[in-house]
Amino acid sequence: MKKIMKVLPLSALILLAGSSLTSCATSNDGPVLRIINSEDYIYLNDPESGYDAPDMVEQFKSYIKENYPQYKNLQVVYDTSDTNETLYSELQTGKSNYDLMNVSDYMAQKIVSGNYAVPFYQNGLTIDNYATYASKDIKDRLDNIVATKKIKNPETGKYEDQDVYLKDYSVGYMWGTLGILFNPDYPGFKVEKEELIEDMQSFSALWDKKYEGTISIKNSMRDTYALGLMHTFEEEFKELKDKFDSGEITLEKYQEEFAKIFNRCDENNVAKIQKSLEELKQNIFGLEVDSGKQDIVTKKIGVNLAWSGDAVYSMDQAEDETQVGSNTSEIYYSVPELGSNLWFDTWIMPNCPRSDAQYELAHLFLDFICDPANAAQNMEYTGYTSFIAGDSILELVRDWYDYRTAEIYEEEYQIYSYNEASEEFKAIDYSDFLKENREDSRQDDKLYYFVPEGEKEEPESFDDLKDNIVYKLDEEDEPTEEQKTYGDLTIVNSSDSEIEEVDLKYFFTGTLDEYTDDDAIFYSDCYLPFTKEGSEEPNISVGRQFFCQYPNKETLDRCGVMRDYGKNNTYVMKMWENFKSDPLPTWAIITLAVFVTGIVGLIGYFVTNKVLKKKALKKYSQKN
Amino acid sequence: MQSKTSAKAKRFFALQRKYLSIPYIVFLILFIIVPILIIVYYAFTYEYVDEATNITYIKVSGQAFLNFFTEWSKINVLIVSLFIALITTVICLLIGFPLAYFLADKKVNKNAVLITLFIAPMWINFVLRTGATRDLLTWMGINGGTHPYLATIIGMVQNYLPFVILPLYTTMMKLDRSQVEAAKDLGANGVQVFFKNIIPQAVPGIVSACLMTFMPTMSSYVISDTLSEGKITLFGNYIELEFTNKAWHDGSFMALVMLILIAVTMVISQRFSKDEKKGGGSW
Repeated sequence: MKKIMKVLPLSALILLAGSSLTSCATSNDGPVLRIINSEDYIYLNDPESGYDAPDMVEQFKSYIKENYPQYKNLQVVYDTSDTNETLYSELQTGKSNYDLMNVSDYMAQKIVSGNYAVPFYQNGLTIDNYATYASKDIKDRLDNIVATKKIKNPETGKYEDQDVYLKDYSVGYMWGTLGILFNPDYPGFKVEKEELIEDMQSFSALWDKKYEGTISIKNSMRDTYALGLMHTFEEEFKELKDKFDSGEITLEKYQEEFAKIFNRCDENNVAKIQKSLEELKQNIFGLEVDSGKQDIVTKKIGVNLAWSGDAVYSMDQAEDETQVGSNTSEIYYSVPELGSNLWFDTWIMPNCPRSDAQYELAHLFLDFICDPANAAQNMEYTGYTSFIAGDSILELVRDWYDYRTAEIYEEEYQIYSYNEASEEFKAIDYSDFLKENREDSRQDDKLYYFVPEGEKEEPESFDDLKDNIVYKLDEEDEPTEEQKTYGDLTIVNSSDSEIEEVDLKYFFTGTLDEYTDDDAIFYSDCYLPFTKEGSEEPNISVGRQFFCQYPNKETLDRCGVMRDYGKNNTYVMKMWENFKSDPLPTWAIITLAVFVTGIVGLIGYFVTNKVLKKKALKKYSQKN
Repeated sequence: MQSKTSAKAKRFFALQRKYLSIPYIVFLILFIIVPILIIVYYAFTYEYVDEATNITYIKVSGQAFLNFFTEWSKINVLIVSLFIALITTVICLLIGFPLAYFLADKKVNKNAVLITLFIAPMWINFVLRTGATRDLLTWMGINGGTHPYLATIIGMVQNYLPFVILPLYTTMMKLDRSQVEAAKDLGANGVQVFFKNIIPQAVPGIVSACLMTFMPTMSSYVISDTLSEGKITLFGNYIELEFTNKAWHDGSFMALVMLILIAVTMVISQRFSKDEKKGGGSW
């Protein structure tokens, strides 16, 4: 002990030296903007994957340098975090010093309720790009979340509840849904593809014994809770939807009622949900957080409870031949008919000391990333869906998914142009096709033919070409019976997938500059129309990448936002702990019992043996 | 004159040598003592929310203690962990003991190459190994989805087998083979030789092998999470769960329970090696 006491002061010295080293890292007089975001959730420079532009944060810095000379020495501290919960506890302990923080909807609500956030738009500041270009529909959904704050009444000195809308406290970033991801090529399914697609329109399919051992769900409390809730109160949701479908109640009323059921988390209801989740546990393959999106590609599992962003990732992977060899598969994503969870990731401003300059810079940063061109860059890099609509996003979505401009032409088809007047035809590049096809330079007498690459040898004459036509771009020709017209694209002989008209006006309306609202109609095969037995109208709630990123309005209307559990959090947490810790199966209890008795017996045997030996020795020595 | 300087030099060097312990002591304080104190602090305090002001505050309380012993799920997790740990230890011993016995035989293992082969898996990070095991087991048809217990136990045995073989191997090396021969000469049959001679000689090794397997198995969470597909929750998983749920106080108390369990097993094992006065097991 004495020795240690001598050594202690020395080690204290070393400690002090260490701490003083860290405190002199920043020595620049420019303002510092401090941001914390989830990992891989913003555009980063990555030349290997084709992202040549500098990091989004660097772009912001140069933008500030050019336009705001007073902040030309701006420094940006950009950190990444792992979970919402960590961020919250850092806020609670006062360890967190950030100007902007990216959190999920429920966490934003919790943070605002706990008085850990300050509102935006003070001092006459605005975020114009967000106000103009954020999709109204989605923004409203986020803005209308209510947080209950405790505010001290200056007159009585007592704390009182005050309801505030998230409108002033949050700036939306990305959004998505929770749904079922399923791979029809999974070898373990006992059902046909059609039946599978029909079943997957409901969360209750996960409880079905048909799918035993093929499903993995999320090892995360909120998502699995939402799943259990949708199943437990299925009847009520169904009743509600029937009322809405028959026109008995309005959309607003429907959403209000939906939210009421969807946010049940009192003791009784939690107990019910626990019961149904325990049933589910018997039926599933496993629980996962991150491995599921890969497992469904490698067909280890067939069904996965997934977030829309992960769903896109899995689909891309499953189609990528360089990843899975020739075993590519088409994975589908469904947002169940009766509704699901709609989630948002949003920026909030934590309640910590900051200068006016930092306050303003935070607004400038948000304004910058809400610029549609920058938002498109972020979206392209992260694969998630931005709050921002606008021209650039519309173009990006067209590029990705619309058959009229889709990159798919480039990869899968050889394009031939055919001049009717001169009867001349030639193979052209996709880029040339695009160039020739701009509104202003289109030649009316030219037709374009899309022939699947590698299907047939190089055509020698137009007649050869005719047999192979898959898509023909033509404004003038009247479509024949087997042809379909979509916008300015006429499809002849559409052999592979059905092309659907996808109306995303709800998302783009009011944000477009150069385009009109009608341009927000897309033509894509990513939506899977599905007619249920007994109903006449086809219903779309299953689809591929495009559907994951931009579900149609009907699907979105059916979804609700699961709020923070508030005081009921303890019940849900207890439920989750109970759900996670299964009792031992009978065989294990028997083995354990056998082992324990065996060990106790052995010890007993040795001890008695020893005692007997000692006694014998004693007797022996006494005798002598 | 000369002796005086040498004495001085000696004293100087003695002083120097003492300071060599500084790095370790600093390390010990920062990364072992302080964390344990933090655990103890959190284990015996609890977070409360003031209803009126919505402000959370921390108070000294035995709530976490109470929670641990009144909540079935926590006790249940303890039982499940004990079960997995026990089975793993027993299987490891059953496989490892004969293996170590033969490996220690100079005739079989002439230049210790064989033992290296058995220990080699230890050099690859176990998280990576577990990921590979998961694929291997799926290929064999024993996946966590259908056989969570089997898959977990296989993974545990695979992971902890080297930790059993090595201490057993070191004791077996010291094993007095002439005693075995003598026992045989005096007419003991194979079973008797094994139980009355080899096992008593190998007790320190067995004890330290158990120690190396039992407690780490209880607290491991990557293996059970990956191989049982999240279906089996062990003590380690549960502590992690508590921390992600922000129930730090409950989680810390459970960590403390774990520490106590480790301490108890250490004490027991020390008694064993004292009894045998061999000390070969302190590997």
